[in-house]
Amino acid sequence: MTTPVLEVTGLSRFFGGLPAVRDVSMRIPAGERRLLLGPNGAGKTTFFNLVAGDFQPSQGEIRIFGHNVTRKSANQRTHLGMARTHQIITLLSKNTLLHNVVISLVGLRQIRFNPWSDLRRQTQLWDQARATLALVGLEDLADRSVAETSYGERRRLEIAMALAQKPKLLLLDEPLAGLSADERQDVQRLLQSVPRDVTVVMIEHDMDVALAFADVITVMQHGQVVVEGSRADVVADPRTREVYLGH
Amino acid sequence: MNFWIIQGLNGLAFGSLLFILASGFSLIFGLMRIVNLSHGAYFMLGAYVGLSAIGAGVNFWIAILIGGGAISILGILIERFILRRLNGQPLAQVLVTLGIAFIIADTCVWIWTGDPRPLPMPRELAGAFRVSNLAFPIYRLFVIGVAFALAAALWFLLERSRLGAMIRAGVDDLAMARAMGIRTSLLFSAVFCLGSALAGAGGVLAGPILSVYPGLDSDMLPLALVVVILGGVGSLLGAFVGSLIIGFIYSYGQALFPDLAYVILFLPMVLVLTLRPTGLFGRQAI
Amino acid sequence: MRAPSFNLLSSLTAIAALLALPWLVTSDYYVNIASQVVIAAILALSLNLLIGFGGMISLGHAAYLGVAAYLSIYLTAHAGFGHLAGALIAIGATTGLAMLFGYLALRASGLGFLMITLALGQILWGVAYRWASLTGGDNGLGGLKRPHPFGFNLMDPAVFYYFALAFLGIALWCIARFVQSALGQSLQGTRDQPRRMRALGYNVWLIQWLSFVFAGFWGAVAGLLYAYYHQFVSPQTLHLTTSAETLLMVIAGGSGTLLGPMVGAALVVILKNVVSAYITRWLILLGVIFVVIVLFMPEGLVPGITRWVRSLSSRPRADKAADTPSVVKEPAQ
Repeated sequence: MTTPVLEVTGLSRFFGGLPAVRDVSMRIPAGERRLLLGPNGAGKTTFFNLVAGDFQPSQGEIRIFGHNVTRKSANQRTHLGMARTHQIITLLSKNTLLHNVVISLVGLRQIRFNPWSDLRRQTQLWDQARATLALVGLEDLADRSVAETSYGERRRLEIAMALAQKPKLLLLDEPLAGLSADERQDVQRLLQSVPRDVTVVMIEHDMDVALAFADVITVMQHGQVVVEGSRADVVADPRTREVYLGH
Repeated sequence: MNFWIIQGLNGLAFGSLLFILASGFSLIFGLMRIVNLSHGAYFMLGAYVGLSAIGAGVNFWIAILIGGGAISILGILIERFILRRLNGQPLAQVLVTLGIAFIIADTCVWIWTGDPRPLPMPRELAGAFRVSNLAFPIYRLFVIGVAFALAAALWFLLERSRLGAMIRAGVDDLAMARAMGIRTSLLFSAVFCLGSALAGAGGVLAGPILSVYPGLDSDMLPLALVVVILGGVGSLLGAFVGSLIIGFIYSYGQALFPDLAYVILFLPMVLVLTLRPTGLFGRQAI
Repeated sequence: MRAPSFNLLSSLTAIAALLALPWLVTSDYYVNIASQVVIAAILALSLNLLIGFGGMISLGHAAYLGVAAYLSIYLTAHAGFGHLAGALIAIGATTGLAMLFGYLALRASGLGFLMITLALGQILWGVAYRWASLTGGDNGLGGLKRPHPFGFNLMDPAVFYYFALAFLGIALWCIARFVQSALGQSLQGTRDQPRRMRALGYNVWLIQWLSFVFAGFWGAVAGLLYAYYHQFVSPQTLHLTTSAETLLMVIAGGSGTLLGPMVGAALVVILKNVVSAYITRWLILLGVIFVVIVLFMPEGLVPGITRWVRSLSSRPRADKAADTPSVVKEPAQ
């Protein structure tokens, strides 16, 4: 049996007395497209933040590529091959798109500790960044500052930055939120282009895109996993209806 | 043996003065997230105002009220007309309070000159309390009593009064408190007024023990900071325990190795920051 | 990354003026002021690494100025060390102090960081004030003779000025390279979006700590020059007032650039010297300037005036006060 890319056991996180995530366990094998569904407040983003390392769980264990990362920081997990996007886009808005991608590339390289060599002279990095932007159709905006781009462009940039690090595990937190119909199509195309050997875990409310994208769906409510299975199983399951409609 | 008891009581007395100062500072920081770097200057100005009041013939107790009252008015004016304009910019508020601290401190030198002035002790509390072969100034025992009474009063205010409930709500979650209808701007003014009054009154109370001198603000402010770092943000108990700990450390340090008394102050800071950065009783990160 | 904010011609003119200063200005008094400005510029540049490029507001930076000064004077004038050895040990030990203080201060961020740096700085002042047997207490520590590097007589004001200017040149070069390097760019990224940087694989704490130590190192260099210039140091050098004056240099000049802190240093040093001749209440003026800048000109004097000058020319520019980095910009959580 091959090691699952992400394995979570008995994961819980309490804020004060409030259980945001309660005894969640999950195994995601390599190459799977996993969708996390659930109403607002179900604990999906908290779960993401726990997996990504933004904060520590109250209980439970997280393993990424077989390594126990429960006590490891977010940047350490990234070095294992994980990348993520955030619900609220946080980019270096005073810098250009190209600069943002370069920062993303540098994050995994030794050069990030170099206090002397001019970063602008690292031509291979800048070329690679330009190529990355071309992959997502943003190469014309390469030298524009992020502050001067549209929301959809920023979302694509964010995903491009994550993909630039060639992750093996990609966490996407509502990649389609707040996008217009055209922008949604662009991002959808982008998601389809992600290589099949990359494991993707996605939180999304846009049902059409999400259901088409996913292999396995996990439905959460009140911090717990309620239903888990293939698309057909989850859609047919009466508990899914209960979660969304209350009966 | 006597030495340890006397120094312990001295530590308690100094810690008590520190608590009167630090409690106001901690309330303001805990609720309003304002690091009021003028707080030491308020303490000093209150002492000078009390000094002048006594010089004008007013008795000690009235002087405390005048000192506290004057600073509370100053505090309200600063909060209302300067700090409130910088709402949502805590760093800007810090820098402004720093500037105000300099203005107040230098104005004090201007008005009262650079000579240290002892504040006359009230006659009723002069002299020493004797038990077996120990003698300890009554005034210092009084100050210790004041701090404990203040701690109790603040506890009562915070835990048992409506105002206190609002303050605690604001400290826990300001946005939520506002959403629940608490008039936070009024609350801020009230807390800032209380904190300033405590600082001013505290200065007068400290006068007979520490004297009043330029630089009193620079001596006291960092100690208040260390108390909050040590005791934790938003915790009255933390401010109380922290003040006493610093009081003891400073007092024993002064007596045992006067040259190094300040070096010892590093120690609780290093320990707390390394082992428990939220402070002894703090719930939020500093 | 932006191109330098002044063009080649103005920078060459400025460099020429700096080099020619002792001939342009005849009086020794003014050359000495220029030396003070140069030393302050190094200190302000080092603090700006933290404030402008790192987004970490420190109110305890005078610690590195003062400790390096005390150590070099003590070692060289009182403990029998040679000038070079004393200088190296002073700078090395002060940098070590920056490692410790950086660790302690970075246990918090934002306001907590500020409080810790202030407290540590003031405790150091208290130590210098009270440990009279070591530091001379309120009387300070003196007796340092200026060194004679390669036979140059540093007692000559012009020669000392060039000596200090050389250090400023080196400091500026190193700091400029740092700012444009991968580490410097990551530092600026952590200033703007720490959470994003963590997600991208950066060890934000380590980046901040390394920058803190680097800033402390250059503060120590300024302290060494300070000791040579004044040949004396007192606890006042470690006081919050000195840290505040350094902070003022950064925010007066504008924290987003390398030029800003240097201009700010000139403004503050000249103001202080001029004002002291007329009024004794420098602190009140310092306080008022702080309040005015924070309330009305948070991006700093230099960017504010640059913006105003640009708006007078016909081309409308996109940058407004909102775009220039402000020292009182609240750090991203």
